[in-house]
Amino acid sequence: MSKSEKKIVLKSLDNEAFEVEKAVALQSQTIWVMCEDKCVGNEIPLENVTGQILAKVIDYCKKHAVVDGDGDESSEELKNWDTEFTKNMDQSTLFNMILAANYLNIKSLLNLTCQAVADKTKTIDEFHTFLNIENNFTPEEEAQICQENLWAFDD
Amino acid sequence: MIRGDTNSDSIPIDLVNDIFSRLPVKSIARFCCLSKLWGSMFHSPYFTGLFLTRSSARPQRLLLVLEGESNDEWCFFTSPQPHIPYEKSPSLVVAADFHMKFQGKLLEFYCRASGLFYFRRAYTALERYVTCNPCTGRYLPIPKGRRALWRSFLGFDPVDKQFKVFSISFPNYDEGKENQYRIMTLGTGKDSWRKIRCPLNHVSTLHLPEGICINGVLYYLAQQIPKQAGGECLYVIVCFDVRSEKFRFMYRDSMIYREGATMFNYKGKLGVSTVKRDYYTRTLDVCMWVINDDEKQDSEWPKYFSFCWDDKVVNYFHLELKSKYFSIVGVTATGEIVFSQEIVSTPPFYVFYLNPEKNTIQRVEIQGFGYNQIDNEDCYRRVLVFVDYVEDLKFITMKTTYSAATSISPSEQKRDEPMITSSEAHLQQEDG
Repeated sequence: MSKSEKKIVLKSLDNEAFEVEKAVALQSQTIWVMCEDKCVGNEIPLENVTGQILAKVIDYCKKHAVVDGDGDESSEELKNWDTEFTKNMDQSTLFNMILAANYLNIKSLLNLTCQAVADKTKTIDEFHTFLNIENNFTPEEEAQICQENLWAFDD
Repeated sequence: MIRGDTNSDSIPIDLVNDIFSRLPVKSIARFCCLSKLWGSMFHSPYFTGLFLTRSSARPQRLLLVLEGESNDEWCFFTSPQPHIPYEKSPSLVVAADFHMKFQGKLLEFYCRASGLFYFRRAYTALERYVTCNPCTGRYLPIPKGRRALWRSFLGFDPVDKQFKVFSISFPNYDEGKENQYRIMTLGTGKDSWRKIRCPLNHVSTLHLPEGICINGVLYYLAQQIPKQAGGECLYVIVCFDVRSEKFRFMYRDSMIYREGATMFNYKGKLGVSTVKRDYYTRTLDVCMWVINDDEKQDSEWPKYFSFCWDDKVVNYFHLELKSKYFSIVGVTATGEIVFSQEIVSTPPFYVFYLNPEKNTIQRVEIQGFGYNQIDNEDCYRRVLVFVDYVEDLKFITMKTTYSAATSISPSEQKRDEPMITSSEAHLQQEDG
């Protein structure tokens, strides 16, 4: 296999191009299907992902790829790396990472980012912002629901 | 799909469900007031199913139920269960998390099925049978009916996802000497008892262990009532299929009906365990049976394990057992027999895990579950411990959808006996 066949170019929504090993990119089921179908050339346009997010996704895939025999990271180390990876991500980055992982169909990344949101998001307001939703209860209705679940508010 | 609640750039709804299913029950309860859409979503069978799947995959916990100081309330806590191997240290300290408080007089536990607990307040004129989900704080009073009960059990049918309460009540002597067997399906809104036929007249009294529901079959121990006076009162294991409402009966070695027997779920099969301390041989004799439901008794094993208390740990355990009231509270999915104190006075509070296969004993001190302030040593409080507890949102799905919960007026509440919450759970008022 020639060198060029092992590489693939991913192009982001904002036209940023990333050249990556094919084995790295193929962790995305979406890209895998595209390559299988031969419906794309060596350059794959990803219309739903910005360059900033794609760079992070590629970082993740590189770490998790088994490339030329150097994929012998211990699972413990990989787990720590994952924790560090999402540790400093803000809500908006996590939001976009979830959308990207979903679009690219990378199950483990989707799992990781969903868990990170669940761990980090503590308050109702944070979820309102995250999901871009509004509280459409009347104050009376809200008070009633809080009253029903009083035990959940005691700390 | 989710019009009005989100804009175009939003995370698909199944992913949001996925995120929420990773939250603790407490957070779900708080987030019920996120929005109308999400408030009702958390009550949907889809979401509660997803939540249960994820919660079952997490390490299981102990559920502790502690009687209040003045005997008029109960507090629910959970704490981590240790995981084998734990050779490093035979003793461990874990912290308990508080879940909810339940108002009421002394309770008697009957049965647990799929995350719900079924109990009765005893020793008062205003007796009430109640099922409750300790992690959501919801509970449902069960109408008792006119006839006095011998005993009552809770079962869960995993196919139709229905809870049913089963009870054995005293005979109506006008109709004969047969006990009456009745059943009630929960959450139908009707809450009325139906009579069912049982081919074998039997009775289950409180000295026999609590019933247990495993994969849609409710198991309990009972005594067969002889047809003629003077006939033999055989012990029998009753297997009641919660879905078809049919009975089967298994006769086994009478050993298993020794006092202090505990029934448990052993990898989906019925297990029975007893423990005896033999002071002559200085051993602790543990006996475990796993009972095959298919009438093939050949592969059943009564397994005997002996722990000699010359061993330091066993000796220590023995001393603990001697000074406090300990009993078997269950067997974990990994086959460890769990002992716990039945009452607490002063700290520390211990739970012991015996691993018969490995011949190990692990002592776990549980801290922070609210009894530390007792300084009067004469003040004893009951504590109930349940193993392999899985957090489950069930029960909030049954009747209290958001609209139902807000639309029921106090007068309707009385008539329909709907689900009410822990905050309103003053049983005296509700009875009155």
